[in-house]
Amino acid sequence: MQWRLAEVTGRRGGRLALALSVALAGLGLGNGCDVLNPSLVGTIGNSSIAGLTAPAGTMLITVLNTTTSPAAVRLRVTKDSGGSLDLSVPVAAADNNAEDPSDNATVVQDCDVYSIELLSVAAALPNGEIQQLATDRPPLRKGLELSCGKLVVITLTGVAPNLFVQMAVY
Amino acid sequence: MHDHALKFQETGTMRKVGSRTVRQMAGLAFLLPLMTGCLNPDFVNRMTGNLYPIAPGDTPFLAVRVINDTEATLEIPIVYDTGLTPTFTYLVRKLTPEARDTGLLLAWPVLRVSVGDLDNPYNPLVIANFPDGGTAGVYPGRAALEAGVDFNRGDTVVFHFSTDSRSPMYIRVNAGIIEADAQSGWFTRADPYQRLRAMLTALGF
Repeated sequence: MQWRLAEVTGRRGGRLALALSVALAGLGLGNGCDVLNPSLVGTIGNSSIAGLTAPAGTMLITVLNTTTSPAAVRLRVTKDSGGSLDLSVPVAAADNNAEDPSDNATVVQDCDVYSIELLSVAAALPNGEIQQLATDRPPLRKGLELSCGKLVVITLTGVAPNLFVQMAVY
Repeated sequence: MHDHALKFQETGTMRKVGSRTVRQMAGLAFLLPLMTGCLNPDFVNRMTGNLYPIAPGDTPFLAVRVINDTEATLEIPIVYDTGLTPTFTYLVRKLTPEARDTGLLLAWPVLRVSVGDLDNPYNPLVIANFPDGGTAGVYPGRAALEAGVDFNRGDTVVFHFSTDSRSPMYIRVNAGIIEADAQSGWFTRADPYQRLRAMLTALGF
């Protein structure tokens, strides 16, 4: 009697193991296992993006210009790998027109960003001069201000020649 | 009596081993996908907790990412057409292999998008600076991607620069997409796209 019970348990165990194996195989085949299905990012046309994985998430860096001066913001983004990238983000003067998005700009980064440093902000004044705005603030760092899914907002405010830069993380 | 006790013990042992094996297999089944990368974030986002969005989803944006998997440092003009003239260009400067990727979030609608030249896919406007000092012009070799055909609102378009297997001096440009459908709805962690939309709306941008 007990031996039969054990056989039943063994059979159940075998069925479970089989079901788990099938589920595992299905998981890999159906949902993007690197080995079985490299197309984690869908392809367009006849492109081949084998082995390219989708990012774990994104961070956004947005520049909003509320002034009447066109401006350019320079940022240094340093990655976890140690590599860095200097971004120059131009924005037009504010126009109070939601149809024209050129008075704001947004950069998309993967979540492998270690720090974001504001290098400089230059604004073109009505008289044609270029004004460098004060930007002496410490870099934003991962684990302190930065993490995956954050929105970094750099806002230019004021009336020329009294322009200011604000930086916030949401 | 003694015999019975022995059988009982053996049965118990067998049962124990059986359940342990099942537990081990279940553990393996859980860990193996994680170790081999089978459970990519897109899959996690689709099936379980919706952690972080990797495309704008149901917000009115198009994300354009460029990825440098070459040995060269790239200067990449991202060009796009919103129906307004002139068309817009955003220059990604000095994208090193270590920095690898960056991108731009564009307000919808976007009609066409490409790297280099919107109208001439063979215009080598992407500049590759190789470690040995050599420089080459790179062209996408494909027509600009079009709204409604190649991408839609809320998608992420990816331009992937990779070294061709035939020569490290030859760079291929492939296009990929992360579709909005896979990234819509609520996410359990921060959703920067929704935050940005709310902020732009509130501030009148």
